Amino acid sequence: MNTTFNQRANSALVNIPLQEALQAATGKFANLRVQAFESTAAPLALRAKAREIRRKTFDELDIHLETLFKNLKNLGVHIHPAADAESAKRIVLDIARKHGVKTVVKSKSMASEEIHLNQALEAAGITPYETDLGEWILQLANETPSHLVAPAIHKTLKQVQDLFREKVDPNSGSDPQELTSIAREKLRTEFMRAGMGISGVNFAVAETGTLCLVTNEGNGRLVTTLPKVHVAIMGFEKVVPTLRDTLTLLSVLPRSATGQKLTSYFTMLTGPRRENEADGPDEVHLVLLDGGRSRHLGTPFQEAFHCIRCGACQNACPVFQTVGGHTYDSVYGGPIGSILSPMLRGLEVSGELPAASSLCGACMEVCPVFVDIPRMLLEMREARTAKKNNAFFERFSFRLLGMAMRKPFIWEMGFKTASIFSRFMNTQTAAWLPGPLGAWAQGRELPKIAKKSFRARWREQKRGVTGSSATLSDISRTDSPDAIVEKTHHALESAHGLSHGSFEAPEGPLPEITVPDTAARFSTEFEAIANPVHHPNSMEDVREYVLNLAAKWKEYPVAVSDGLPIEVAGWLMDEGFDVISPANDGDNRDAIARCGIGITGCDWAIAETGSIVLRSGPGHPRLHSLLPETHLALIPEKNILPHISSLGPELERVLTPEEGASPSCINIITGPSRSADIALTLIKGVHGPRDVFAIIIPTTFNTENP
Amino acid sequence: MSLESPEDRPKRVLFFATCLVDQFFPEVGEATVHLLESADIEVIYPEGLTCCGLPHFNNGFRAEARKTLETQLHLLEGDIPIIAPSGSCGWMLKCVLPTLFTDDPWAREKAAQIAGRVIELSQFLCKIKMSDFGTTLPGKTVYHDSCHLLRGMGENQTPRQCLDLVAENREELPNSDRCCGFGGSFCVKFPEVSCAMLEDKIKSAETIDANWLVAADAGCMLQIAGGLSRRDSNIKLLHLAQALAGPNNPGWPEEYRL
Repeated sequence: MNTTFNQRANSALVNIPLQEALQAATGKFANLRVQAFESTAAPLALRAKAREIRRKTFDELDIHLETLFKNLKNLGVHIHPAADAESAKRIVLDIARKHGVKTVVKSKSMASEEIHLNQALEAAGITPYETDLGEWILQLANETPSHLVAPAIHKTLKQVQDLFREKVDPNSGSDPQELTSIAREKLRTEFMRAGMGISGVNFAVAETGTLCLVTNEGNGRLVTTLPKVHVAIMGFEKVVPTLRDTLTLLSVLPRSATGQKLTSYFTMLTGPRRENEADGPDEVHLVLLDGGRSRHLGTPFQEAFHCIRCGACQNACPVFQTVGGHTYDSVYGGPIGSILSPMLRGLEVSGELPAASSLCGACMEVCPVFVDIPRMLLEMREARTAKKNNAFFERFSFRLLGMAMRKPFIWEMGFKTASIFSRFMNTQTAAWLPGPLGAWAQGRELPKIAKKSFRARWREQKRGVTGSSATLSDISRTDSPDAIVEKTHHALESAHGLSHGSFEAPEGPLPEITVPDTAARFSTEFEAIANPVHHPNSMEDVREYVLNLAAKWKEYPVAVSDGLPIEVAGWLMDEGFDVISPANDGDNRDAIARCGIGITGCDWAIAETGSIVLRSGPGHPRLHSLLPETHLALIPEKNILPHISSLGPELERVLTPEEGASPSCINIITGPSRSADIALTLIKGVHGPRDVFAIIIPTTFNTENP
Repeated sequence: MSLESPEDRPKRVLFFATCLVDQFFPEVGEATVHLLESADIEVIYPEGLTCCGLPHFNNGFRAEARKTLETQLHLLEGDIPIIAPSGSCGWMLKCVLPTLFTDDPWAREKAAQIAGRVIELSQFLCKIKMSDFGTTLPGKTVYHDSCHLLRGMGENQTPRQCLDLVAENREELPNSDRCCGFGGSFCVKFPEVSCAMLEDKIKSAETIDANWLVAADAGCMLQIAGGLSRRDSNIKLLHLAQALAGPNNPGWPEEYRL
């Protein structure tokens, strides 16, 4: 059962399908990441700002947590601190039992993986359904995720096909689109009837008590909208002080993770459903999992909490690229996992991981918040020596080596002796040896110790000064401490603190690419990921466009939100469409689910990403833009903002209202629901809309009905 | 050899030969000395120098690394540049050394002063504005970015600038910034993973039919040389100093004699 890293690595190395999948996935993500950052005005400055946000957050973590808890309580969110996995599981089970929950739908949550929540739910007679396509595949296969953002990258199309035929439907098709449709249908049923939704949290905004999810498939939205009870699980590291900070982190997270400017959905959940809202959970719980975290605050490992779980370090790491996530045998694999796992599980359990790195520094180079992973790997190795977790042989030989290094004569003699021995040694014989020599000889010829060392050659030529180049008075230990402090202060400033990266954060506000024509830019960006944007020239034009689009779903009802910039419901009814309006009390999920198309307005749009922003509220159900296969948004031109950061003040205004209720849910929607969890093939319409259309209504437009 | 502004260059430099060059690749040391002396720079080599302590530091034996460096501090004193023909040893002296003596003001000051003078060979050659090495490397040359020079010391320009002065045809090695799999003890603790990374590195040089694979770190050389001879590859490995000193000049490997 207990295998070593090397044993697992060796199985991974001979697993040809895994090798092919790893190469394709990590390479693809790494390339997309580079391209995605090229679209920002100053990628390094953006990342530096993100790093600063994370640093400052942890400088005053207590204050931000206090604010978060206060705001969550005011919103009516139940907060459950959980010291360890056991208590976290007990809390979740208690909530489930209280509500008589039979089935649970889950969106991706690494924290729930940490505590092995699914096993606990099953043991209690509650059926959990993983709903992220990749996670569902793994649940069917009884496997664990192998990557932070692409959990099933290790599985080939063939393996997924076989799995579906065995576990879901013996007649299931073979291409990723068909397989995804099966998953959609099967899981949609579970979404509709589940008593409880469990999600993770990407960011918890302290100033508003908003829990944010960054997703692509739409399952995160369904999990937090359809069941009456929503349970979110997170560690304290998810806290972000402000909405504006959150938007900055959002600008780097998807770019680093999947190379997207934004994921399909950024969901901001602020408390349970408001009384005047049609849908959303009636109860929201937050389980705050410690699970070994707090003991690392104020230690050299605190920086590991800055990680925003993008997985870029995994894609960049040559070791991860070679052996994949499962070789790390822990929830968090790859470079950041080699720190997090020993932190959370202890060096006794995961002590091997910090050594499984060549310290090449590629992880830190790509990290959106510049987490100094190499530094912490070194600290871990240091801790391992201090606790004598490493082998006696290792400690003994390094001590011996150290002694020799400090005695040049012994050092030289040592190499001479070794050189003599090496004459009787070739790679074939060395390969039989235990220890480092044998390990080296496995795939490499032994290096030859020079017959005549450099120092010997130098000596022979009787050249130059062989001692120190300084006079003795320079190096006497007589400087006064004060003088030294004064002198060294400046010298140290540049060199102080060990760091693999050498770049300084630029000062001043973050530069942004100017967007002269927001409508045009929005259209370009939107069309790159969704469908052509319609620019109407008359009301009749709008009418024709809407009716044409609805005609594709002639047999189905149409869901239409209230208060649209142009009232289209009348036109549709005149043409004989069954129009489903927002319910006044409770959601009409079944009716909306039958709709072929959902028509909404648009509170704001973002030009640089082609995004539509929708807030929930009376007459604006969350489900209209989620359940139907097609979503049409009517966008008033004046609502188009240039940048994601321009949304900051708007969100502040809406989420901290002077009077009235804030929306329980705001979604930034960027393109259709999508996934690449099956063999990296991009599939649209996983759980949410397959098609998203937009009409931009010019400011000068006469919206009187003709 | 020519220098654009010879008056700016130091008259003497201290050569931190590194333990791997000393014991495994003495030719690299000879090539370095040849390069520096050809630029009319006197080379000082304190024989008492052994190792920068990186093996200890990287394996969780910081106290050992500190002791090792402490005994060598007096050898590195002075005001002349300290040349390291290796990014990893250079990083150790430049970036780690000043952090090791937090509780010893005397040593800390010495360490900071020493660190401030450390410079990697190609950085130094560019700094003194070498514009011609008086030699040519025939065929196709590729450069492998040694991780600690690239990401530790933040340098990817000067090795290329120098190579461009001697290489008949320098091309970019695909994934030149990907680790060769050495990583100190990593290469013997995780031999299969290390060898898989090594194979990728060698393959990428083979796919573009490189004649010369140039590295700037004796650690990478140890690893890549072991892999090349195991594969019986046609690729020839050189240290940057050997490439710049040029064919048949001091430090040129006997087996490559043209």
